[in-house]
Amino acid sequence: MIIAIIGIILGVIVGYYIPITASGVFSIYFSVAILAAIDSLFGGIRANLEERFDSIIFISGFFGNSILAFALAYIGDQLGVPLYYAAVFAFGTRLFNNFSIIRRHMLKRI
Amino acid sequence: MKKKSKNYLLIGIISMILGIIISVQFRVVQGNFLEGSNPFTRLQELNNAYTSVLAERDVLLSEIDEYQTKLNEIESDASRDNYLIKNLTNELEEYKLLGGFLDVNGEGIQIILDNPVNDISKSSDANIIYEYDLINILVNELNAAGAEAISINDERIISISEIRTAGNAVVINKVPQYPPFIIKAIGSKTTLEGAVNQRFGIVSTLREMGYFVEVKKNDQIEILKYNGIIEFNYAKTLKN
Repeated sequence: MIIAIIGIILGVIVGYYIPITASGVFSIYFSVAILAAIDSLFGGIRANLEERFDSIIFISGFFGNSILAFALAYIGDQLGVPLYYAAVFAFGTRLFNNFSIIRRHMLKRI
Repeated sequence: MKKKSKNYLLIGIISMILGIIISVQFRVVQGNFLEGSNPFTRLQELNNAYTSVLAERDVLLSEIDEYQTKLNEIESDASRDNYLIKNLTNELEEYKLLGGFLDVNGEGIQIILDNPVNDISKSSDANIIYEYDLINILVNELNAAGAEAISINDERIISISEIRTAGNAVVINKVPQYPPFIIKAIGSKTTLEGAVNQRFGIVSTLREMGYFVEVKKNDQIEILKYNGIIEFNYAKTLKN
């Protein structure tokens, strides 16, 4: 958990200084992809706490979920149906589930 | 233990990537996209701005009316005393009438022009907004038939009036107008009606395309004046 927070802070600092900009048009897609990535990260932390962490599953989940969420949002926009709701709902629910399990593990440890 | 530290390293790297994406996204949203606010607040802001501009417009319109009445009072006051000014005022009224700066009424026709009535049996995406050339033709026909005053949705058609599509509205006298268009024309009602209703004329063309057109003869039609100012910046009078 601590290592993840440190990583995110480090990443934000690095991202603030590197000169990459995405087009504002893709803003909504990126937000959904970020949600998927956060979900994968929480899943990874949870798996680590439960001592069944698998690096392949973790990395493939991270990129796969992000790409799927991005694609879903994009296709939804093209079809005129807000399909990204599906991603927001699924990943949001799982995010809170994972977080509650992480919390329990952490509290048990103290 | 070694495997555990490898896991931590992996989680750390992935979180760093996530952090980079988040900060890039943050910069984009805070930067130029929607001026830093999310779509819903932006919508609210635009809505508020729109309402306040509408209110402002109404205030300005009433101000125009006020000054107009004041001006009329001054003119009539002055003309009462002086014969010359009285003559000039009469002349001025005449030119105002010619230019479309006076409310007028009289016999004429009223045409209601609207989009096709929604009908499940025939789907159509015809939109009168994109057929502004037909509205132009209609106005042209009315002028040809001797209309003395024409207005569309209470926008008086004068010498500088434009009729053109801009966005999802038809702009007339630089004011966006939406269907239904109520076109009023003062003149000989039978001539006007005959001119637009002739076979293969403009009304039948519009009806053929599916638009709703209704032409009504009327003994009393009121047409409002042009509400604006014409400025001549380039044209100068030739003296010879």
